[in-house]
Amino acid sequence: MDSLTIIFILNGVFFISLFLLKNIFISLVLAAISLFIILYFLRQKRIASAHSIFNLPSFEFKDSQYISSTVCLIVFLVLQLLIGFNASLFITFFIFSYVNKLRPRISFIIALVLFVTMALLTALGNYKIAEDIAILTYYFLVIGVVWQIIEIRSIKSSAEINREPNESEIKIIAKKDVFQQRNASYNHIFLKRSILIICILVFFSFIIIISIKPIIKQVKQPIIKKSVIKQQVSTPIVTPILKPITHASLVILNATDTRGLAGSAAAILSKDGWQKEFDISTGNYLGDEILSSNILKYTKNFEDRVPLIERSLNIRVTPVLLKQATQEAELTLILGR
Amino acid sequence: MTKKIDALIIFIWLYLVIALPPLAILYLIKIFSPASGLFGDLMVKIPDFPALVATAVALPLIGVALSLWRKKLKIVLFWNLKKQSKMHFIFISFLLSFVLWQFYSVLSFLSYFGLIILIIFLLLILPLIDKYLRSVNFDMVKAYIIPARNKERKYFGKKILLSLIILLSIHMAVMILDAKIYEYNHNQQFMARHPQINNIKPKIVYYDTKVILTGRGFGWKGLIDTKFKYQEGIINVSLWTDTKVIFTVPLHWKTGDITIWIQKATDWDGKKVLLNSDEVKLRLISRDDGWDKDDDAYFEQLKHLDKETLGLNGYK
Repeated sequence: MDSLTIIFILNGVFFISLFLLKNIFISLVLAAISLFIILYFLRQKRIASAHSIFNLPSFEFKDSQYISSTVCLIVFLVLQLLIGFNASLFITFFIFSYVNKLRPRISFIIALVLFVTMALLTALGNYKIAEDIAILTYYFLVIGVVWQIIEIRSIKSSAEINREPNESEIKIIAKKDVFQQRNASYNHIFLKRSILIICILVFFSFIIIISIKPIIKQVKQPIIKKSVIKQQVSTPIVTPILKPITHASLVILNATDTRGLAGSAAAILSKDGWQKEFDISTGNYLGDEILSSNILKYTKNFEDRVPLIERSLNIRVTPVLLKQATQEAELTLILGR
Repeated sequence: MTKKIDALIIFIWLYLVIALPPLAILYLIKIFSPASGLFGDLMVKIPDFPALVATAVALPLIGVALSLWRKKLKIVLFWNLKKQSKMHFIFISFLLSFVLWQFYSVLSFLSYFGLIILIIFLLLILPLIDKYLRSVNFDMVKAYIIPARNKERKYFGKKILLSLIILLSIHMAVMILDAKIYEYNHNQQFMARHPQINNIKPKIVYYDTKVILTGRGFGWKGLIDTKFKYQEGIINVSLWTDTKVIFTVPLHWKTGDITIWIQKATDWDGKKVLLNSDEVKLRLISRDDGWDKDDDAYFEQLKHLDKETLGLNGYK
């Protein structure tokens, strides 16, 4: 019996006794007693260590593999700040796979592992994480399929190159022999390059989309803002409560179990220039239930802001017209699921 | 004494091998399926992530220290390692640091500097921990517990009892550590729920002046309280949000320096508790006792007030 088997047996004893007796201390004692019994029976034999079982030196990687892995981790770290977790994960995975010349089935294996994890989590009732993992599974499957297509293409082209020519073809080949062979040898390199080019294109398109997004919004925003200001000037309807306040208060409340929803909505609105007219504050909705829709409570003079809020946040709201502003705010947005 | 230290070196290793992995798995079950009910109420007693990480770092380090003291281990420094081992530890340190920093907010308040500290720390301790974990094996445990042929059976029983005591003591220490960390975090959470006033504008006020309190954690309703009440009365609050409160200085307050704070009710550990914010000072001056330096100070401060406060109080 080797060390690893003993560890598995002891952990098994620990788990089973924990499951049955529901006491960590007793489980620990039982695991220790099991160890003493095993050691007593093995008193005459030498126990092989886990290190020798795995033969760890044979697992040694090349320096370049360590470097590429560490570089990929750094790339992931930087990218996830710019483009979020999922996108950076896939870009990094793509780069890592390309550099380490991994096969497309790796992507399918990861998808399969995630799929099993998702099923387990669903069975255990943790739907939120299961949902996130389902999205990851889907992405890995897509990557695997794309990769597989690229590989099939490369196999086809290399098969054509290696095919035995018939008599009629020999004459043609003889004419353009040198030129064609040179092209064929470049074909494989081209396919590899194409993967790299796709990677770079995907990466740069992400960067371009992210950098252009705020510019497009800024270009669009003045037109909307101008119309808002004009409307305000032409229809100065102000309730008595609002008169002394130059900055109207907009409160965003989170009525879901998703953390930071109100904060991110406030950040979007601030980015769109809402903070110039509104004092935006955030918080959690104190009602007992989780709301299934977004509610916007507003007074008559803020009627024109309803579609603008919907447009800025890209959501639909259920408008609730108030006769008078509440004590908390003139404009209250309650974010539901 | 030296034999007991040797036993401790072995049993720390044994605890890391037989108890820590199941506890980590149980923690994962607790996190990923809190409603599964597989282990009933036991889940509450499973050490949390901070305690598990602290155990995974502290126990091997104690083992390393004891082994160094007993001269069973030679100190290993990262820069003295072979190239392959260096690469190995750099990768592992970076990966672990990143996971701890990014997903568990360990030293994340220091931003990237925190990540660098974690990497350096792991680079220094991982080679030592690795060497310690490799230096102990089941043969050493066997040699400690199973007596030589000519010894009595009583000796065997004594060793087993001592081993159990050491293992349970280590586990007890882990549980105490977990309880302490939980208590600290619980207290921090409670403190974080207290309202905090960051600013008060204006600081010198007349009766009926509108005052803006800004800060965090004010809740959505609460009370403004003061030490020097002239008499009880209602304060007119025109706005109460989580970060801002606007109220009017009431007529029932006494002139002079007034210390005020915000009080809000909240549920904590199933009980209703009243939380007080930090105290801020306000100087209430009267309009009726002639023009003096306080009135000068009041108008002087108007030069430095923001538009909102000025607008609220009728100044343009």
